[in-house]
Amino acid sequence: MKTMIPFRPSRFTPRPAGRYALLTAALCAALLCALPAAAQDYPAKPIEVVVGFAPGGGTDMVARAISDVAAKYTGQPLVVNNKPGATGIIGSQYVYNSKPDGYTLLVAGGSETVSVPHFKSLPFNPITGFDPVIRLMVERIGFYVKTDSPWKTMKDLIADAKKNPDKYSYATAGVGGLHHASMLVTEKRTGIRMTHVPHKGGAENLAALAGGHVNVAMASPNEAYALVQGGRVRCLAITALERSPTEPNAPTMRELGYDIYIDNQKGFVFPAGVPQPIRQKLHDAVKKAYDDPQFKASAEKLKLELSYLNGDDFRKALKSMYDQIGESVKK
Amino acid sequence: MDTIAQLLHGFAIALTPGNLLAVLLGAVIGTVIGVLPGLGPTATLALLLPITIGMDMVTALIMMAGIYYGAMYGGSITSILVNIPGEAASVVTCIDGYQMARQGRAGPALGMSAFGSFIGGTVSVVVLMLISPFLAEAALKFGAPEMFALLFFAFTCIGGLTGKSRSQGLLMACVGLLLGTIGTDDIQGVDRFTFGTLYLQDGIGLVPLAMGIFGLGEILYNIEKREAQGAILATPKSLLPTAADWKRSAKPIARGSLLGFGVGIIPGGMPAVASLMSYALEKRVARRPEEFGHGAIEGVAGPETANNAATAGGFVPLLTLGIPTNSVLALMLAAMMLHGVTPGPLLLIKWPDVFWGVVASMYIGNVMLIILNVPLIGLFVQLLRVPYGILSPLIIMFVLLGAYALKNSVSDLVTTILFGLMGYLMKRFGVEPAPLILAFVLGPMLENNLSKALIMSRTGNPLFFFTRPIAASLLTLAILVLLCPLVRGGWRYAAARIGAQRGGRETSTGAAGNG
Repeated sequence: MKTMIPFRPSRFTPRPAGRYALLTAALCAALLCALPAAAQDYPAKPIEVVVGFAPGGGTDMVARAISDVAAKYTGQPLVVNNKPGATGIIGSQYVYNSKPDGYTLLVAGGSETVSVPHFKSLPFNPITGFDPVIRLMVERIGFYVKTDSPWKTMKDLIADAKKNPDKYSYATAGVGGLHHASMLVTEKRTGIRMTHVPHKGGAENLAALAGGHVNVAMASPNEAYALVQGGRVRCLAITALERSPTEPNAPTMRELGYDIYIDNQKGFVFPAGVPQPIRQKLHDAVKKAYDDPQFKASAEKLKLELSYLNGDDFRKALKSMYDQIGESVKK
Repeated sequence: MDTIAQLLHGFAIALTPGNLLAVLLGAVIGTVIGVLPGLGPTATLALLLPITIGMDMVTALIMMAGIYYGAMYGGSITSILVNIPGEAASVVTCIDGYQMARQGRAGPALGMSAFGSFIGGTVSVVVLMLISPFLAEAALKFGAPEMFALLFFAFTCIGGLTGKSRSQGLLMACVGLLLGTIGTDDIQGVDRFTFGTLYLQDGIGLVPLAMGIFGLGEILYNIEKREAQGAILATPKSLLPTAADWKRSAKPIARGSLLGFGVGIIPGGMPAVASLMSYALEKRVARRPEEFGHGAIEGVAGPETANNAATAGGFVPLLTLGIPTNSVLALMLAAMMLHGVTPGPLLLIKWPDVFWGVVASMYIGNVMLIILNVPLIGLFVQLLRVPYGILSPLIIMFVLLGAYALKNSVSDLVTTILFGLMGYLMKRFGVEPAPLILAFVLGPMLENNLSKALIMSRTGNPLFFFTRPIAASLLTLAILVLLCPLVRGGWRYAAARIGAQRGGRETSTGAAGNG
């Protein structure tokens, strides 16, 4: 120990003023370059991908699948961080309050963005408070009935429910979620009225339908896939813009003549205020990952229905659904 | 015969070196995450899901199933040794398991928990294998009214959970019910007692609450009682359950197996619910209920059996219908779909290897877990020899780390600490935590299912429950259980009077327990 040379500050002798000036000038130059350089060097550290739901759901699965592949194109890892709670609002608020520097993003576009805000007052606006970057997938929403239900088509259901208001019940995965909201919009546009039986999550909801405890269950085609294959439930219609590849025989509500378009979208959004060049850069990298066969293959297997939109179109789609639901909830 | 041939085929699959390794890996990982509070099977499986893409389908499922039931084994270890529930399903094991450890009986507690888990798991797998398609059908009949009736039945057992003071026990049950109402109401979507915070919208989590009340509360209390620090944990006497322990545990294990399996197959029935119900049931039927809360081995054997049985039971609706009853099973479903396998009625026809391979691996996994765990009991109890001054800061660290890891949320840390203070006060004033925990978990479920059932009835008429056979019989049973002490009390009173009149030597046998 004693042989070690002690640290001697005195060795750093004061330098002439000229050297400081040079250093200061260099620093200034560096600072001037900092703004464009931020986008050029972006990302310089790992990007935090916040998922507002527990591991294992659709939101979490698409986040993990794309993050694994996207690291190849961004040069930095995308680290998924689950912040579950309050139907995704806890995660949303966390991202909303984070620094808009491009290193924290949210997987958004579902209940927490377009539906829950109409049922609760939130400390932020889910549409203007975030800058959409890219949409990755949609989860369609279907009207499911038991296979032996007397209703053969959606038209049958609507006609019967119109004649018998509040007689029939429908199950959803929870109050204020997109599935509940989709039925509220449907009630508004078709003039039917049904009784809501909220459940805890998609599995309980479908189990209630399969057991014959409710007349209709709102569910996504991938949740219902096993039950449909097993011949227990069938899909009457979906609320999407186009038919679902998982449920190709179910018509959309638009095909049936009702102006309804609601999807459970999933994509990346930044907190508002992230510079455009950074948004563009991340969009381009994630788009490459989206087109990567590795991502396509895992999405295919997980029955994730991929559907790309750029940031601006994603924002428009979110706004459209937000407004449809808003007008139906107010009644 | 066919079943046996197919099971043998399943064993042939499960016994290949790769799959054996998967069972072992799953069991070990499961035990470890079960021990670590905050890290549960859900998070672990979610992280492993991408890795399973590259694995063989059956191997991946075998490993995932191993992690799930391994976690149920592991969860009890910390509950018993240091009073920290590693998993929601082992919260109730803290109550009597830790008391046994303090009496130097950590070995028998750990052993009985391992053997109970093994028996519960194995019984469930046998039933799963033999009659699962039929059972899945029956489980679907369990809607909200039936669930309400079952929970109502469980609540009738709370009266039996109260310790030395009945009013105090019922008061704690009310506190549990009130704590359970915090958060967004599931039916109307109205916020209750959230004080405008987002955090409280989901209510208080069972694990932060239990880790506070049991883990932190115990440590705070022990710090206060300084003189006890030297001999805080008695040195272990025997390592394995004695013959007397076995005799006392046989019936709880049998009941726990059936109850756990039954709860496991119901949509919404979780291992944690199964273990709580088993605890309540055991105390209700116990010959010496006053021992519960003070190291009754029945209070360890029953719940630990039930949670493992429920774990295996959950595979029934998953494999035969494609309905996952909890988030861990939802991840298994995702793993199956990732490999193009659709669980459901077609599973047995199209992918028999998957079904029978997984079933056979569950037998092997349970054997493996017992081989792994029993010899390790000696090692685990050595932990109790660590001086408390060193052990307690470590426990605090693990509790706080676990509380944070649950949801990556700092608010959960605050919750845990607050409940730690509450746990300390409860311990200080000799208040038993069991009624609080039971009411806290089952209360919100009871309310939720009652509301749903009344919505389904459309008229809101409570007689609706009696129009449904399963609900009606469960409610009738519950009413009988409620009336039973009254009738028994009346009979005893009459008997005592007669005895007194005759001037006989009537002793009040067994009456003490009901106080």
